[in-house]
Amino acid sequence: MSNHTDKAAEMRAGLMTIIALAVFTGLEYWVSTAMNGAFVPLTLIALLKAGLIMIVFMHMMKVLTYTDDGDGH
Amino acid sequence: MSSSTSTHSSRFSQLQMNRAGLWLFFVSEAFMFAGLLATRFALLPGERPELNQILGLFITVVLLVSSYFMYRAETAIAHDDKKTFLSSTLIAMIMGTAFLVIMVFVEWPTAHFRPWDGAAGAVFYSMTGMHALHVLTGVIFLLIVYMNGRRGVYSAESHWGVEACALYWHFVDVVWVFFYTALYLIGTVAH
Repeated sequence: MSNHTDKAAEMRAGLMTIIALAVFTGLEYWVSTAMNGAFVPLTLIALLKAGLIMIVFMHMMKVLTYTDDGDGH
Repeated sequence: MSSSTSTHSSRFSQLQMNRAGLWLFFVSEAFMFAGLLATRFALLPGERPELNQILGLFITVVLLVSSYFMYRAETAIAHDDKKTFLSSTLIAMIMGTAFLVIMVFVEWPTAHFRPWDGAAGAVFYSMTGMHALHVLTGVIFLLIVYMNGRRGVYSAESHWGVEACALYWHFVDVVWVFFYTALYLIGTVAH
């Protein structure tokens, strides 16, 4: 039961992340046209997207915090 | 300490070493891609190449969604869901191939410039070319993981190959996040 719940939660996290990435991509496309390709806001959005991918998809925290969450594969 | 705990602990330590090694590789690759980004802004300050915006947005979405499917694949195999793992890996591979095909056979031929056409050409083709090489190797990696998965090589207890492949694929996606912004969005069109 716990394993199934974990899987559902992880899948949900992935889905929320891709939705957020889609929204940010749309936002940066709009910023590019509305603000003549302004460097600062576009770079910030890119950093946000990269951060989301690294933290959620790439599980960056697993490497930074030496935590055994039981998946010692 | 019991024997099974000791085995798990050493496997976890090995896994952490593997992860650290792979992330160090990503750091070294990041320096190379950062160099290309720096070149882009040095050669075209305040400007960007004239590119097909709809195509750029489309392939960006394709790569992001492929990354999502690879995340699904890794999560699935971590919970022994082999069916979802295989289908998601296959979708990620198809989408990655689509990105590559569109970039090389649509974007490149229809661009208003060639690699030898000044700063815009040099910057665009070197950045997208280097990234495309990484996408190609990523697709090959996905194919190997998919074939191994069909043979039953991976399980919830042992799937480092899947994790490594997923991490590499997401890294390629992170690079494109910055390259897409730098090439298609930042600055005004250079004529």
